[in-house]
Amino acid sequence: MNKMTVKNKIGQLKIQQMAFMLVAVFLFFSLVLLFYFKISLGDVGKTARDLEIQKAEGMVEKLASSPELIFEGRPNSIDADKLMVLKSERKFKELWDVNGIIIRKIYPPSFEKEVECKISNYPDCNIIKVFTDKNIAPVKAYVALCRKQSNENGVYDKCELAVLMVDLNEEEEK
Amino acid sequence: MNKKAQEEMVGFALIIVLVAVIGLVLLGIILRTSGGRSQEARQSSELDSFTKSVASYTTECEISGRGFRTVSELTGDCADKGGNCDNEFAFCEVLSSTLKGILNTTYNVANSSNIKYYKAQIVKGSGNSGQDIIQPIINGNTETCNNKFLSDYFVSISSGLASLRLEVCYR
Repeated sequence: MNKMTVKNKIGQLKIQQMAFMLVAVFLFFSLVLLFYFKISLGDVGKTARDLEIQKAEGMVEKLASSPELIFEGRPNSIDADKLMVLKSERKFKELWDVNGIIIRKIYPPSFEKEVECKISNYPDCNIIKVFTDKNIAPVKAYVALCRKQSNENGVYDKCELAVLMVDLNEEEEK
Repeated sequence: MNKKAQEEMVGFALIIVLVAVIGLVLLGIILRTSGGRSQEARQSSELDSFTKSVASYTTECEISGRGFRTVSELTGDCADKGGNCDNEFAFCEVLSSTLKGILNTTYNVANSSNIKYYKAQIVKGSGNSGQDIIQPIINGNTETCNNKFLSDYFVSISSGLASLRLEVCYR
């Protein structure tokens, strides 16, 4: 009788031990899986953001060397006169696949305030907005913003330092 | 018997904790390195576009018959023969003041900004053995830097090559 009770007790203890082990193993793997999914999903979001930024960076470089905008074949130079003409041509929005292009003159400093370039005030302005009303976009690159200028000695090329920003925010479009 | 089971459970718990800690450390390292790389690439490409654009910038130096000189043209004028613009300022003086103005406006070196220092040089010849055409333009403390970016833009001059070199240290 005593032997049976002892055997039963040992058996119960082993079952208990196994149950604890199973619960612990289950909990451990659930935690690992949860952790893995949280990180992998977070990473997908981050990768998507990185890809978006890389796309915008590529677009900025592409625009700065596109034949429609480049100034007399100079590297990284944008023709401000051409840009002012293309401002109203909506078909270029589809061609370049952008929501907007913003070019802000930074040197020489001209105005205290922001003066948007329009046909009426060009070139006495410091920001050119193409297809957008935004003032800023996350990805930027420096460009030389060039135009033809004249003085008593004739016509010359005038290039100023500017920042080119591209708005690729596709979600807003949809 | 009870003691043995308890020991096994404690051992198991210890293994779980150990594996979890190692996993967390590894994940932290992986995430940190992948995040840093894209930021570095962006800063580097920004700096490259900056030097290229500065080279095309039109300075205040006009030479009759040749028009207003760009930074790259003025680099050649300053390195090759020296001389003065129509407004009597020396080529090298205009070059230096233009670069100072551009850098001062673009890169804000302060305790609150993410830029620790910048150093701009115009060097005749290539490599580290080049000779400075103008006095290097330095702003900030250049002693130590863990996040330094360099960009070179080469300009053709009559005696070979000159390089517009910019070094920026980010915090």
